[in-house]
Amino acid sequence: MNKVVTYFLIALTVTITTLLHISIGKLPPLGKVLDPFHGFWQNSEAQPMNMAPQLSLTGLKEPVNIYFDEHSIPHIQAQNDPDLYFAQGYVSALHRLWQMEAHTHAAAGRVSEIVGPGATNFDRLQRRKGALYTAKNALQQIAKDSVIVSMLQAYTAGVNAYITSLTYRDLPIEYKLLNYRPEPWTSLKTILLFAKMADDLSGYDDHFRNTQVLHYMGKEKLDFLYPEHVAEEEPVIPKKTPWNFRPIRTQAVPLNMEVPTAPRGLEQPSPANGSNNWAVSGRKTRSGAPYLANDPHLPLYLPCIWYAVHLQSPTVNVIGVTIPGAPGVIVGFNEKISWGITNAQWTLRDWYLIDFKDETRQEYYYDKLLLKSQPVVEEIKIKNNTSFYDTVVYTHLGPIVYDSHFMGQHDENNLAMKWVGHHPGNELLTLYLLNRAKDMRDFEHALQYHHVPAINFAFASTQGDIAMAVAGQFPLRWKGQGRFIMPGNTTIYEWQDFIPKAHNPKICNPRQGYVSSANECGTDKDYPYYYLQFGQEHYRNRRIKQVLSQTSKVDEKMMMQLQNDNYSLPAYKNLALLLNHIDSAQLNTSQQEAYQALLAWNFHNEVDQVAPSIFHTWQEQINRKLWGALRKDGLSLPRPSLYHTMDILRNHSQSPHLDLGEYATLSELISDAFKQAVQELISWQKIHNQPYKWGDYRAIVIPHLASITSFGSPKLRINGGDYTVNLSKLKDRQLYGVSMRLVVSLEESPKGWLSYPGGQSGNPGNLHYTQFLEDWCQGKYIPLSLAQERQKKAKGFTLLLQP
Amino acid sequence: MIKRILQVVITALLSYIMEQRLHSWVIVICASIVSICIPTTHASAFWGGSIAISLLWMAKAAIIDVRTNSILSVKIAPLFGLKSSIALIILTGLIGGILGGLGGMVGHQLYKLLFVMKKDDFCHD
Repeated sequence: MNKVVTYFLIALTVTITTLLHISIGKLPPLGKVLDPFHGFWQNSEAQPMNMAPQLSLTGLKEPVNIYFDEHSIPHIQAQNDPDLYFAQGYVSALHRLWQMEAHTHAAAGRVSEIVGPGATNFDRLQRRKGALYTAKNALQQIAKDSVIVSMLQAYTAGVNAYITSLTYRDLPIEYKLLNYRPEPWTSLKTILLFAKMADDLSGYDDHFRNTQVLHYMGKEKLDFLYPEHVAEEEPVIPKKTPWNFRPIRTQAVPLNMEVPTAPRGLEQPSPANGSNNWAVSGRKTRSGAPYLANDPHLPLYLPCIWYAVHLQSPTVNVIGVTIPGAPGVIVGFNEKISWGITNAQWTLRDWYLIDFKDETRQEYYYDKLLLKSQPVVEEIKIKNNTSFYDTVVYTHLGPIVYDSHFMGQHDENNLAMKWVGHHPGNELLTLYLLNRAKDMRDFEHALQYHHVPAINFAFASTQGDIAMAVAGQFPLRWKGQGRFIMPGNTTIYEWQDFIPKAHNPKICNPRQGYVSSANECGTDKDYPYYYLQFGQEHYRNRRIKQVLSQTSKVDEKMMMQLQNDNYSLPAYKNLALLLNHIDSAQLNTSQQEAYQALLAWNFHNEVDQVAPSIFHTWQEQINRKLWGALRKDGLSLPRPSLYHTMDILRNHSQSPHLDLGEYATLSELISDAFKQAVQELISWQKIHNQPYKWGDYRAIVIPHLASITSFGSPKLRINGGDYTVNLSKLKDRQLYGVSMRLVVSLEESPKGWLSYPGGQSGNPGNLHYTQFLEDWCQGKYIPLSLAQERQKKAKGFTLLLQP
Repeated sequence: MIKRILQVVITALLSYIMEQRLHSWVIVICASIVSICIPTTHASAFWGGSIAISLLWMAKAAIIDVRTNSILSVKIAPLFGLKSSIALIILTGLIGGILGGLGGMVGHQLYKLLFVMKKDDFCHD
């Protein structure tokens, strides 16, 4: 009897102990996680840096000195480059390991492995776009370059030195809660990060939209709703810039251009990424030295996508920000130059309808040939589930992304994606060279290796030069090529060549004394090559140019002010026009109040104003009423941009293409939209029991990367909006915003100022997890310096890494 | 009574030492061993192990929490549907208590099986 009881008790104890050490459903393993000696409690940190001041690591050649300043920014001093990148890998992992790996898992389409079935479609899309195929091609390209190979290897070794030092107790909190462990880092993972960035910034594709509108509404309607060019364009490369080259010849436009029909409703995700950058010549500054500014707009998460780092070795002294997982500095400055990036949004991928011989999709027609396709079976592992297998069919044009098995509507729609990014250049070499560039020539040389995505690089140097260059590998297109989905069964529709890199648009030291870009069109119409751009910007860029052209005594304060500028250009341009449609005698009290608030508005989107809330809601209502038809009859087309909408209301309000729906006149529509907007605001006010001030009405929350609610930010009141230089935008429930602000003064020894929404530590249990958040909201910066003395004065932590 | 206090103190102490190196399951074994070495009754074997680990875990958690100003516990508490760090410390103690108690109870049962029953078997012979 006793025996039975004993065995039973032992079995019970083992079972319960086991249950408390594994993860059941979404619940983390309770015993493991709550154990104060190993579990989450150990991730609580009393000091920003909690480690021994000296570490011995195999893989290093010489000792490396790392000084973490009061913001936990590492200033790494190494005696050679491999040691430098080893140390960078080590500290990046120390601060951001979980984020680094999460990004690479996302890039590789492996999110389901960690979070379960919810992410399967995301993973499938990543695989179908050929994430791994891209990264492997990139690695092959890089393998030819021993400098970059050694940089990647050193960085990888550094990350792995950190990973292997970890016991369960030291794992980042997310691993404990989601119950998995980090894998060894590889060069491929770093490349996957770049591939994901390239994919994200290669943007969404207008091809599907254009093709659907063309087929179901006609060419006229297409040009009416989504014109290729607009009258008021102020391109990145100033108008009338001469092109000092003889353009190479483009293939002629095919006669009887064929456009295959697109499935109704097929929709591409349309991220609202963007950025600003500019450089100002010393002629326009107080100090006589040039300035450079950059602020990339990306989806905002905690931990922030950027990580600040200062790298020093005998070959380099550079400071700035990078993405954890990437060696070197992506945006920053060295002792001679500074550079910043924005998305140029040139279309780098086209879509082809593949004509398969039969349902097996093993062969497809191409001119008079029958070509063989290559099926690749992708296993998508899913947490607590059996794996999902997806077959991705590769053609010589690229992988089939959409078909009847994935978001396809008809069986015959096999759409292959041809993307410059599938065969990238050596983007890491571009960064490596920029980190070490000494002048404009070095800068221009570095850009030769950059293929994807299309980037506007802003440049300024201590020699007094400023420049803006559009970098990338751009397909040589005949006029209109790639505007629609193209037939994939003939050579005629294929890219024949690329625009020679030397013919990419650029401008050096323009007479106007500044260069700037904010995702607007790249050039004027005189540029001798045809190119497509997606999601052109129409307001931020003009505001920046307006301010820069009007200011003569630029200093860092003015640069910061411009980065934090909340002036709503669309409101300034259009409010009077809209208000004219309203008969103010017909308004009730709350409508009257809103009307008066708009009349008195200074067009600044500031937290304590109500007018931005009214204008925003009103404009949304107008949009909904005007463009409802674009989401009917199985179509799901994006609305024309605010700029085009306003252009139509101003100049083409009588057009037969404008469908007013239930309204007899435009004025009726606009004033009804106004009344409904006010109603929406009043009900918001009732629910939230506070006035609809912009900062409250459009309060933002920066979510945690794995959506762990309490690891996200609290509600933040911030200035700015969808169209201001200081951008913040909610699109499809995703928050986009200023992911980082950098200002650099190119005086004799350059200095910089930095701000980003987050902090250096990726640990929610560290004081520096959100150290910069408050400053970021208020538009404040921390100083960055390449000099040593200054750093030593501040209080920080010194870490000595030894071989 | 002294025996019971001794069981609690030694279990906690041994677990504290072992947890420096080994995972949390080791506390179950610690509680068992102590309860084999210091035999008491069935109930007090359970409660002894339970109280020992519960106190140990709560003390450790509380020390961390005070030292770090609850920086992380306030973010973890909501994940378990709890409102405060103190509630999270209590939950920590509760889970530790279950593990320690089970260990103590198994230890006591093993003691009976290994030593007491052997005597019985001997008598029957």
